[in-house]
Amino acid sequence: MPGVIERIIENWLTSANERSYQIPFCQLLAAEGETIVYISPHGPFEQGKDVITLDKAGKPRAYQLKNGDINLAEWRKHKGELNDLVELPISHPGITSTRQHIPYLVTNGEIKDPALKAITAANQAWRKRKYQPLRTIAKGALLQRFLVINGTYLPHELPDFTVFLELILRDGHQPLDKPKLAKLLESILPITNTKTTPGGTKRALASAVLVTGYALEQPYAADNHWAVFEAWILAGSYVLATAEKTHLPGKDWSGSFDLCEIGALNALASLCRDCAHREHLVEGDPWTDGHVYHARVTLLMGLLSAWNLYHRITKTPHEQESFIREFVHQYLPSMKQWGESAVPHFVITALEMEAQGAQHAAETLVINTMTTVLAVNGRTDGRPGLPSPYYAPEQALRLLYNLDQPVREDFVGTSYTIHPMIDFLARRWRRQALKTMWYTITGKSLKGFYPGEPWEWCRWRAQTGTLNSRFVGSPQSWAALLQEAQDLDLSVLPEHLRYRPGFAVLFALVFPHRFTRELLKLIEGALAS
Amino acid sequence: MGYDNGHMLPDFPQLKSELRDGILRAIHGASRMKAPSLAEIKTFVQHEGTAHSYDRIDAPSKTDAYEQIGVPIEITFAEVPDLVGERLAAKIDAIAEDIARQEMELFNRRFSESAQEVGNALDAGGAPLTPELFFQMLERVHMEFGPDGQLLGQFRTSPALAKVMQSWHDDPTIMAQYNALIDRKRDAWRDRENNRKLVD
Repeated sequence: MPGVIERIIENWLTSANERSYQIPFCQLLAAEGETIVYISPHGPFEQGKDVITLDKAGKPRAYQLKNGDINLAEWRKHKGELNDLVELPISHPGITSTRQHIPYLVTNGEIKDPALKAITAANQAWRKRKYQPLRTIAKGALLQRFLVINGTYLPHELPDFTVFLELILRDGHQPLDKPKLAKLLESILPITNTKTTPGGTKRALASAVLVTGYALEQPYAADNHWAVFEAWILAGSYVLATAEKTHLPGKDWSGSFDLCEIGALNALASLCRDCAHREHLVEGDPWTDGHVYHARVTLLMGLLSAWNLYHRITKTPHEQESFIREFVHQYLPSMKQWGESAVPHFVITALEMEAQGAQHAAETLVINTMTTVLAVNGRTDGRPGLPSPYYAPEQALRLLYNLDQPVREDFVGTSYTIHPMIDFLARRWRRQALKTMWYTITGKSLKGFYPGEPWEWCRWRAQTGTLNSRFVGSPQSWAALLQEAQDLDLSVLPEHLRYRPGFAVLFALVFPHRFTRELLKLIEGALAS
Repeated sequence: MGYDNGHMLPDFPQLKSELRDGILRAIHGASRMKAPSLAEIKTFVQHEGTAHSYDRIDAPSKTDAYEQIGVPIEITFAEVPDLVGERLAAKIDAIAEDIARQEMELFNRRFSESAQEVGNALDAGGAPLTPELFFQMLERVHMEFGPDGQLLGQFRTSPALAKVMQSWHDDPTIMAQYNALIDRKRDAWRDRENNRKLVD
């Protein structure tokens, strides 16, 4: 149904704002052969340049993205930024060329005649002053380029197409439907069918990024940064899975992965800015918000902490560090668990606190988190325990408030997240704390799922693999416990994830069922180094 | 049963989807009623993968694959209009009966295999059950006790053997032997409880 796809992409393009089409536009440029050098996080404009690239000949290009029609009034309004775009040289370590950059004004609307005439006049003036003239890319040309690049990789069979439409039409205020997006990505990427060429896989990866961008139209419009973040992490994980599965050379997939990671980081930057401008964290209907308020706080604590940890690991400081420090301190008492899928948020927050120097408070947070899991999953009164990490926050909250039928699964007596937390405390020599809890821990079946193939770690649900159910020692030697926590074999993790511990921090929040002992050790190791 | 020739008559897919969920829950509940001993066993869902690896007492860890059990369901077009109320309940009951039977068979087989593997099986070679044999078997059983010191769990046996064992209740010698064995098991349990700790 190519006609429908054209209409969908056209509708997406015209409805998008400059933030929501930025990543797909970059993917478009990359697929056309340009090398992405810089993508603005959409804070204050940086010299008028939203995207900086090198073309095939190595010549720098700078793009400024706008949304909607550009008439004379718009042109005049943006003239200052466009002067910067054209006249200010690119100041970026990735650009060593001394050649003048080619400036582009891009919009997903039309550039009206009066504005075009103004641009022509401005270009004459710029030429006289030896600047490159401003090029324009408007809706028609942009749409055509998106349609060409998608080629045959958009979901074309009805079941996948239905999933695609459902994602596009989903209310942007809702949490991301991760299983659905995963299904869509699996229908595009050659991970169940490896009979493809490297070129075909590269095009499929580009399409996966574009399709994720299309699916995020509503969340972007609603400023639902959490959903945007999760979608880009999911897409980035599938890029890693595909690369690992098909042994694709880095040059063929790293560009698509980087775009997904930047999309996720920009969403966290926006979330951080939103939090910084709020006096409270209440959202929407005040009658009902109390039911989800603490879950929201927990999510935000994990997300902002993860953002900071990413920057710590990649050694890229940012301006919001002190705000995050205050935020974590202020909202720590309001964190609550909805299930075991909340635990990565607690542990990531603890790691951030530890990095801030609040060692004791960080360890206390993990001890309290463990105590809660042990207490709730140690009940003998017939009430259900904490839903496992396979239950998303909303699913778990629906169970808690009896909005859904009880699940046919017992959570009491088991835990997926206790073992990583034991390791966390053992590596910090919290022997006494563990000793106090050990009797309760010994009664729990500690679970961990290990995919059969490394690439399936980054897949939403692995087809192969083993669920390990283990009991800790009773008695347990402290020395042996410590040794085991320190000597965990990280080679079980996929290579591409091992080499990206910063991404692993973000991955742990989006894939809580992959929050294993090894993943936590990887993150801790990266922070320590 | 599918749609003929790709045409569709007026239908209510969402409503039917919810009703089907209700029917599946009813089947699950009824099968648990028919196999109460299985209902007492905790269940968990493995959300991905194909195998489960677990620890065993006094034996190495084991990795098991899953087995599928299923019940063929036949519904004729003629049945459909009246497949509500009591008739639907009867159908659910029959399916639940079959599922419970298959689950019990699977449980008994796995139970027996596990007992054999860890050396807990005792073959009397066709001889009648005696108190000595019974105590010999109990010695091999890993027993758990509640905080009040009462034995937890249950013994499963055939009705005929249960009758034999019931008759031992009136024999003070046998009961004294039994109580002494349980006391020893309770002491062993207390030792295990004392060992649930982090040591040097």
